[in-house]
Amino acid sequence: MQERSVFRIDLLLVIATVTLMVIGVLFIYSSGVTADGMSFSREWLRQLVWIGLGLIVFVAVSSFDYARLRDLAPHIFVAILLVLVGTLLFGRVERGARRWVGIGDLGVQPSEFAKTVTILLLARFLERRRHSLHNPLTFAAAMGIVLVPVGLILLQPDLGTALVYVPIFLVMTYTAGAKPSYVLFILLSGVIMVVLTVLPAWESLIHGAEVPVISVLRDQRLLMVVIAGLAAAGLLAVIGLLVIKRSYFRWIIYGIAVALTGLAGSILGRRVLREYQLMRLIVFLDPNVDPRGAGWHIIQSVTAVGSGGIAGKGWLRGTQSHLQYLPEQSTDFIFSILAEEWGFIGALAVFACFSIIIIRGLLISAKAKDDFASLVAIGIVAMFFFHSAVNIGMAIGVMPITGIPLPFVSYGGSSLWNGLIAVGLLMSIYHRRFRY
Amino acid sequence: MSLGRNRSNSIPTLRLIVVGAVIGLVFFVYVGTLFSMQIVDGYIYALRAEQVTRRSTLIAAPRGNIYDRNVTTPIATNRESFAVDINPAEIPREQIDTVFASVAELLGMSVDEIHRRIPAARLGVFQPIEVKSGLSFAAILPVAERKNGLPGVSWRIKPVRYYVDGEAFAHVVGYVGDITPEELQVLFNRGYTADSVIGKAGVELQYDELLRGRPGREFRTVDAQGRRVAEDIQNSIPPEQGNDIVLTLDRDIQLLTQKALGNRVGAALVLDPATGDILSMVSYPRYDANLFYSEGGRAYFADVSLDPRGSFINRAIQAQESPASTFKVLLTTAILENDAFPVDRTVNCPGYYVVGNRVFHCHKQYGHGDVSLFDALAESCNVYFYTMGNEYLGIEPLVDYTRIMGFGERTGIDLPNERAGLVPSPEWKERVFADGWRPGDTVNFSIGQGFLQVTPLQLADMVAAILNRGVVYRPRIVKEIRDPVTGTVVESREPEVLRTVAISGETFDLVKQAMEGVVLDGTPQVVMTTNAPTGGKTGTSETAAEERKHSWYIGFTPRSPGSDQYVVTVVWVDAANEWDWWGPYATNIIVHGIYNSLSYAETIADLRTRHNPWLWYGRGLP
Repeated sequence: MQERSVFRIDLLLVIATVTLMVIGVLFIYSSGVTADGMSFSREWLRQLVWIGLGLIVFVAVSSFDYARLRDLAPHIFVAILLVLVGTLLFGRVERGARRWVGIGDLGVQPSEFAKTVTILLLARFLERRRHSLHNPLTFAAAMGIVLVPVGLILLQPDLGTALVYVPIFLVMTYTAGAKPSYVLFILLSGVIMVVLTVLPAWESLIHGAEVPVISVLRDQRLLMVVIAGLAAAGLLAVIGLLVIKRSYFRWIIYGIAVALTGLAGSILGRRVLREYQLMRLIVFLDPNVDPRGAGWHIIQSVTAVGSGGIAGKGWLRGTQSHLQYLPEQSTDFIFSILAEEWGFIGALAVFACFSIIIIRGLLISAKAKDDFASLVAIGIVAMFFFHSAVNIGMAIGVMPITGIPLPFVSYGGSSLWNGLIAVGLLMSIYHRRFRY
Repeated sequence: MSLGRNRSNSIPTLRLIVVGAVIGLVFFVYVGTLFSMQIVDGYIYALRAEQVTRRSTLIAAPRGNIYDRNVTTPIATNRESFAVDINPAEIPREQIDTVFASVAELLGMSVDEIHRRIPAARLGVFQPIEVKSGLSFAAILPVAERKNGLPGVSWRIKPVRYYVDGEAFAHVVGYVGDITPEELQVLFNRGYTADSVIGKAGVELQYDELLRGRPGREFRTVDAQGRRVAEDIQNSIPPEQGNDIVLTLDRDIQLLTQKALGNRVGAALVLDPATGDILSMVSYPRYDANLFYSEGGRAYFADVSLDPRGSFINRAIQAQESPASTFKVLLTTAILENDAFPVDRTVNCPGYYVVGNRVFHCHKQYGHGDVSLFDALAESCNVYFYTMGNEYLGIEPLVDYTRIMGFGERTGIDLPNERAGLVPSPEWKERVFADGWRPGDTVNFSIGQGFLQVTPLQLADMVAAILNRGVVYRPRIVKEIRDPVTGTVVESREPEVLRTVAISGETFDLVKQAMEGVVLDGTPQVVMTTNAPTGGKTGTSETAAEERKHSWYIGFTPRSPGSDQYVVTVVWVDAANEWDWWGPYATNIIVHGIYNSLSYAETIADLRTRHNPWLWYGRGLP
């Protein structure tokens, strides 16, 4: 049947992906050019090689029947976990993190691929347990699947990549039918945790004056009192719920649980977060706290983007980038060069491409033959969305700096291949959408 | 592909729509943010990007030249000189030691000195740091030849001030130096920067704003490390050379005066009374500012600064001393103007004068006998003037005459830090010492001793008043300001009347006659061996040490044979010197040289042939 041919492909999705990769190569080249017009970096050539090989992977994945992945998923997951452990033990250290494995110059970041693998396993799990997801234990079990790779990646340490699992998990469980209150619980306690983690540093570095309330976080004894008080209130609410059986006690318990989780998380956060990571959050609030240090990236990137104007300064003509004001130009801050040299129009083009990928992903999810495929598609959508939103967000100063790449655009083979595999999966789901 | 039809999975569509809506909202906010950054506020960021990447450096403006009144060769100009810079961040780490060692060897300095100029903390900074300046072309040649082996090493032209006659004009012209933080604080709003070179003394200081010109600006684009990546030549602003200044000084007279004073602590000056022009002004000890800017300049500067005699003091306007017997000229004027005592009447000088229980001596131990006014001035008889001051004039009129002659206030010469001197009075003594004025004070005042303090320039103005019958022009150093390029006069300064002394012309004429009589018949007769018809008055002021005395001479002489244009000369030789009564001798040389238009060497030779037997002091002259 002609309709079921493997050659029926989602053309728009391919066009958007290829466009992003072309833009990527152009600006990886641009980032490797000095102000004198001398090209000092061959990254763009390497990226072309990665793209060439990646397209083969892409065709392979898209022609592979995803249904077989359902059964393979646990094996692949275990395999990738082993590789992550191996990375921790034998990986190459680069910029303070052990996230590379490979021989010589050629290397990959297993944590990139682990994202897609986790999506596959989570989709398989959720497909089977969809109808018991209201049970907190099932929800927690789903969270358990995600926490294993997250834990391994945090050990590298690579906070940015680990964070990607949060939206993947939330979006997939939400679409699978998890109670919104569970999803909200994680979101709210996460927000509280981040705010409470940053507050003491905010007080001393930005606000500049002591705020009495914040001393709770600094004073160990006061903190214990607050936790004990919250716990006592929670206990009272539980008793109230059991005795009086009024539903508002549920909400009180929920609120207290969110607060306690956030507070506990923030205590952990301040222990675990390193100085530079905390500073990234602080300079996000006010880059001028440390303009030549931690705030440098934000200030330079925002200046580059803003000075681009409507049509930009022209390809290879950006001043901030070619004068080396922008760090990590070919990877984390590639959007800044693009926005500087191609301006608002170029930035819109990038948004359009990502919008196409995400919209196609949503539609593929909606049209997928089975729940597994649908959940894989929405997981991939969540992954692309989070990557692009955080990467672009930090370039324009609305997100704190977490070094995660812009899919298809940033220099780097692992990120590119993982993106191509993900799009390949979407393709595979797309042209096998009909039951027959 | 459309939703709903052939749907085969059980995922709730509503939840997919919610996810899609959240994503759409975030992207919408992002696009909005980008719109406001790039289009609404784009110009702010564009400006910021421009400022961050464009740096400018000042190009020092050549300082204006300083000429003498004849505008022949300059007194002060700029000498081409080179400075060697090291941009430490351009040197590969492992080569730093070898590069420093080579540069040190080639420039004849120690490696430690380079390390002192480039501290370890600055090794990573992309900014050239000057390691040595004041280098000649020959001195940088070896560095230039080895340029390829010396990364990060560069050189540039850095003009250095050059004083053609060395120390001859030192105190009047002054010198320049790097601006100090204190000076910058005061002058910040007048366009000075931390790199400015500024006048430190004399004309260089007084007229710094005219001389310094306007520095140019050179723009360049730099990268994040401050590395220069492009020049912006079109927009560079060339420096404007400072104005040239023409002084009233006459080079020949200046050199004559300088050599006549010789190496004696003191001052000498020649004034044109008809205009107030200072024709020469010298002070000793001097300094040679050229040496400040050359090899070992720092050490030399320290030596000069630490000289206890005060080498930077321009004694012609800053020394305040008792005028001693030269002040008898003022008393003579007062006596004549006040008709205090008939000119022909005599006073008997027994060699001392008694007031109350104090005895005041005359310099002639057994007295001058009976002396009248003119004789008293010529013989410098103290007793005559003691008597006049104490018995016939009184302190009040004396103080008044002193004041109207301009003592006790600055002349307003266009040089920095002029001193005013001091005219004591009964009120002054009461105020300062809480003590009454005694007749002894008047007696001391009458011969220019005691509390009275004057500067050499004030005495010159007194003589100018006599020659000009009361009209005194403000002494001045700068005559014209000229455009450095075209040489046209930008500003010509007209002589300005400083004061008109309310004393009759006849009185002044008589005083002038009396001063001429001093030379013909009086104390300096033995040394004034010139053919010039001069007038003058010696002064010898006592100090605590018996054999140490200040030697003054104030005088005047026609500029040339037959001329009625006069010049005023004042020489003051400090008591710090070996006593050799040099005031009149120096004046003799100066006056003879000016009158006969001779150089110092010619003057000495001429004086020797003309008056050999008498020129006993000339034996020690070069």
